[in-house]
Amino acid sequence: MKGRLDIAGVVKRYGTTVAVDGVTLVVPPGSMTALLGPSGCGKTTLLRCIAGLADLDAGSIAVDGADIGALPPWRRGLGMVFQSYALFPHMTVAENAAFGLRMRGTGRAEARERVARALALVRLEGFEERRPSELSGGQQQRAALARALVTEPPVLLLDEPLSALDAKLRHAMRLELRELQRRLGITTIVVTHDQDEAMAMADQVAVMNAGRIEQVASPETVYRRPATPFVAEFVGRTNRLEGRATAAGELDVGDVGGRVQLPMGHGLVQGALGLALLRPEHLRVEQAAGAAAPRLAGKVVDVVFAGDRVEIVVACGALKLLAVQPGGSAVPAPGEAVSLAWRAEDLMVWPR
Amino acid sequence: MIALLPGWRARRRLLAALYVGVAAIFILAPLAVVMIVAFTSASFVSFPPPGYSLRWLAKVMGDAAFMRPLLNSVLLGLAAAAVAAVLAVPAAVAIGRRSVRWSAELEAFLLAPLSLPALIMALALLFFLARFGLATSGWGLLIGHVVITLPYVLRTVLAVQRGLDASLVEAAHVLGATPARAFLSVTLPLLRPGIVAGSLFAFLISFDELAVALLLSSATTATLPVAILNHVAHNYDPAVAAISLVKIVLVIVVLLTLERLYGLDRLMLSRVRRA
Repeated sequence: MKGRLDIAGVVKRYGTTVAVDGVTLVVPPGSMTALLGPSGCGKTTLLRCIAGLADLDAGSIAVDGADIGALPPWRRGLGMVFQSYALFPHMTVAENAAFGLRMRGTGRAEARERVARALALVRLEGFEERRPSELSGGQQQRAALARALVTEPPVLLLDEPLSALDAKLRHAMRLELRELQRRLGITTIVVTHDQDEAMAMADQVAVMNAGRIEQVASPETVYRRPATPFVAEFVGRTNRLEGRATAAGELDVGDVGGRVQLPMGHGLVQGALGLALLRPEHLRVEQAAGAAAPRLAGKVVDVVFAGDRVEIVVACGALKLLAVQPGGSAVPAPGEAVSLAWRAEDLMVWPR
Repeated sequence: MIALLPGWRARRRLLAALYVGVAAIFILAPLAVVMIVAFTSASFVSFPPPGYSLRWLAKVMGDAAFMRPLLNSVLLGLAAAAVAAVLAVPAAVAIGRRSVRWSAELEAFLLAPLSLPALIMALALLFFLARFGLATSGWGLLIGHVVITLPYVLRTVLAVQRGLDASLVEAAHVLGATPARAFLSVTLPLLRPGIVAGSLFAFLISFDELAVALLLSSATTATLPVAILNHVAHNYDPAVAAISLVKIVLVIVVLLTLERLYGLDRLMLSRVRRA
């Protein structure tokens, strides 16, 4: 399979700010990798570096072993869909889609055939003669996708492809993009700040923060075994417990006025400051204080019904912890004294 | 009941209509007088004319003293507009994209002729071009008019350029377009409304310009405003009204043609609808 992308030691500076700070990333052929992070983390800059729209200050970018890092964008032969779609307003959908072929000097008959195929791929048949301004947001996105795919690039770059769509369409397009990417087997990098989007679409998620990649792994690993507290807190929701490790393998959390048992192999030396994170869905709200298992006593502050789940806010000392239970399960009433329990291995611990 | 309650809304509308009406009269009335006097049968200027004829129109249309300058003015206007557009478009793109350092200073510099008294600039050009023997060669006139009309093209093209999504050109690059091809197939077509509108302004400004033309033209390169001024200085007859009518009609024809070709209100708004 073609389209292996190797990014090695890429650095991009703007004046004194370092937008991309030594990123190394391998995107296997035919797979989809999401660059996930908050705005300003450098994910879009990295994408622009790959496209050739920003010059590298250091590092290399290679497609199938050939270094393209020094080539101008028009000689890289990649496909890209812009956040604004950037469809040419003075051209029809068909002319937009044919643009890349025109630049390559493809013959008229062949170009027409390939444009028709690309438009069929994104289900835009019959829209050939429309102007971009006459298309809905979703159709514009498909047109931009067809334009990027028509030249059969080895790598497809998507910059926040779904951010301009409304919520319902976004969910549908997420699956559609994923399905299309799999069917074509095209190596794809998608930039997004939406963790759900990254999880739903990508084979591999690269979580970025302050110009660096914090973790590259499958969506499941990123969620279940985050490499850093940043990853844990950015991908999904967490409860924060901070305290000092005790001799008994516990974390003395001042804010909750109690100690919580640390999991095996937590790596904290006695007396060290530690940060422990717990996912809301790993917390069980129990009315009676059972035995065993790490737990904290608290009082229910708020219960929010959210359809398929119930969110329960429990005050433990000075901290408010969030627990999520499946909808339909028995829920305590606000004001009720409860006990929060979890499995020791679900506690994610880092030194501070 | 309604008639009894005209209210502030109706009064405001009436005031607005009055205001617009008065403004229109102030602008149009002198023009109307000139256009009527052009058809006078008398050999002197008087309003209203004692009778009507085409004698003055026939006289100026057959008079090389007017027709030669008219042709000069048309050619000069076209050339100035074309040269100004060729110079202004790359400048507008560079300034609009901020791809050059000092782009704000460059913009202020290129727009400076707008705020400079035309007569001062004409004098400066005269002294400067005289050193190269170009002062009254016709080339000096063209240079002067390019300097004066360039800001008009620059401003309209810049307005369109600033409204363009920068990722359009980037998309063209990623799709394989070199800078030259991206400029020709994406930037230029999108700037076209601004270029046409700006060049139209440039033509009209040049067509009407007097100060530079007065100082930099010779007997053979005299423009229409210069010829009219010369004529008025020596005779006060209806020929001036007649040639003015010819000039007004010519401008109206140009505007109507562009209206038919492009739609003027779209040009004047000089903004491309975004995709």
